[in-house]
Amino acid sequence: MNARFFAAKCLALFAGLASVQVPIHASAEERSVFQGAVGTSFGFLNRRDYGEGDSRRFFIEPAFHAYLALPVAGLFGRGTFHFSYVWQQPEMPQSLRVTERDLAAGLGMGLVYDWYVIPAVTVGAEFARRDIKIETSTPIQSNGSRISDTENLIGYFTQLGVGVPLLNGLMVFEPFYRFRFFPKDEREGAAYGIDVSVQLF
Amino acid sequence: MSRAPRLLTVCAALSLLSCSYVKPADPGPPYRAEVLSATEAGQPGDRLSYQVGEKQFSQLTDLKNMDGRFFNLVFGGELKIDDIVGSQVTRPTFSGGTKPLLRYNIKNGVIVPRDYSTLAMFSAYYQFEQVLGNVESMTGVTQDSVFEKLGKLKILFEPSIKIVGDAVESSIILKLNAAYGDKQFILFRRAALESVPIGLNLQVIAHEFGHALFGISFFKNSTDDCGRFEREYVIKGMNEGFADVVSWAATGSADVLRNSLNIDEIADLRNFSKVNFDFSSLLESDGEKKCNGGIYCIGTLFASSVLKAHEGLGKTNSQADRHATMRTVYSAIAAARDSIDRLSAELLPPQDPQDAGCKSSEKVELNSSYQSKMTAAFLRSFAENLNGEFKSQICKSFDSNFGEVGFSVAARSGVCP
Repeated sequence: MNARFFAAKCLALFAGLASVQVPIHASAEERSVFQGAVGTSFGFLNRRDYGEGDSRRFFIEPAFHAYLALPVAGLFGRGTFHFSYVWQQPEMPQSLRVTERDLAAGLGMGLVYDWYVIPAVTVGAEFARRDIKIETSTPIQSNGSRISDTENLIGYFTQLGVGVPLLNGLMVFEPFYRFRFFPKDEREGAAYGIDVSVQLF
Repeated sequence: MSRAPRLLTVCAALSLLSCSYVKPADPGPPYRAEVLSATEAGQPGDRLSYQVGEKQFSQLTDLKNMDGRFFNLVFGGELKIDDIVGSQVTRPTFSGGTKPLLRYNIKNGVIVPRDYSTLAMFSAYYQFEQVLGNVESMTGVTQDSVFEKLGKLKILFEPSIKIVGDAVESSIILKLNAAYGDKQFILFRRAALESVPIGLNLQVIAHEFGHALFGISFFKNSTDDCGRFEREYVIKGMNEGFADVVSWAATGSADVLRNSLNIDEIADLRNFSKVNFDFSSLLESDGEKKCNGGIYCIGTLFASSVLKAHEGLGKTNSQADRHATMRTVYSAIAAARDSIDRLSAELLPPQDPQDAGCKSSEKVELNSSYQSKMTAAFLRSFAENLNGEFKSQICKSFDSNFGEVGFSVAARSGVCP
């Protein structure tokens, strides 16, 4: 790993961002059949929390990417593992709240294409452990309520993204839009944000 | 096995797990669910207490669609209105909406909500059922008779709202209220400023139901929002007052809003167990008014008059006594419309051009002799249809709350001493 590469990776990690060098713009000598990267996505999750209208909740999602060169020039398979924690809540009254906090992990597989920008498509599945809690305050009592609970959710997603390589491909910013479907929670909507990644090996 | 097939295998397993999920059958009807419910107040100035716990729906027959004999809850949708005054919307047109997005678990035969919206929808429906259960006792009219006129009522859960009355259409997110119009109850979007959610507060739901009762009694079930009395500023105020009386009769508390909006400046104005203004003070300039709640101020004075008459008769705050008074008030309101129609031009002035047509009543100010005459005409027509000691008591309280300015000697003549 050369000094420039190391410095850039440290900078990205220090900033709390994902850092990945995507294989696409590495020099031919630096390319290998199998490469790994780490990244973080930032964005918003839409959910139909109101009768008419969605809530928009912020999320941070660390991710690991594995790239596999395919036998077509410029085409790579990409496997992704991500996990996230969503703690933000939609607007609710002070004395009666039902909070939902999701700890989630997902696996995705897709294709990326080495071009001036890096189009990517990913499909995958996600598992979420949801912590549901009823919170009340005067004049409402909730002793004996059984609303507080946990729930396991499985969902599917298709993600479209376009990566923009920076610093000669050292870092890649990939704005994405993720179509999500959770059979047990029809409220869950799309996610969108930016993935920032740097190559590990 | 290489990595890619492994990933595929895991995804396939997860998919199978998800697809094999079968939701258990709903245990009902009758359905038992965890909802927000309220306990009656001991005295009119007291506040209700609330609990989240297990209750049984009495009317709900189709849980998935939140549908029953008298109510159907609709999720979302768009409501176009001409305007909103108090909690009364004018010429509402509703479109869209879906069956409720419900998420719940079933624990020992009880439906337990998994998110706020589901808890809110169950709770709102339950409050309407609670009020419905008291309708016959409060009005003297059977549930069937009331709903023969009203038909099945829609409960609109947090729709988007578009005001189309003015030249420019405007889409707005309305919060901190609930409303009634054209046989539809509208639950505005919840807000962090609320304590007990307004749309789930039995006091507020009973108040909105009061508008429906006013509609089938005083307005004779008219659907013409542009009729003279439907547009009168003062009548809208009396409608609010009557709705507050219904809220008190249903819950025992005359402190209508404090549980939901614990802001003294707002809650005090709606607490008709302690009123510190009279009608003449409503005619003062804005800075000097003791009540700045617009039509609600007129309503509070009317509701306070009823409560004073109730207490003047030595009645308690028990449900039986409250409902007895409510029956008297309801029958007088129902008859008041015929009485007001019969009033001479001297007592009932020709319609104020400001109120003509269907333009917004919010632009009307309560500062003219016209509004005073209109107030007196309503009070006279109401009192005229009361009897005995209650009539004497209401005349006293009208005198105290409305004085000569709001209830002139001419208007009292032949009705009140």
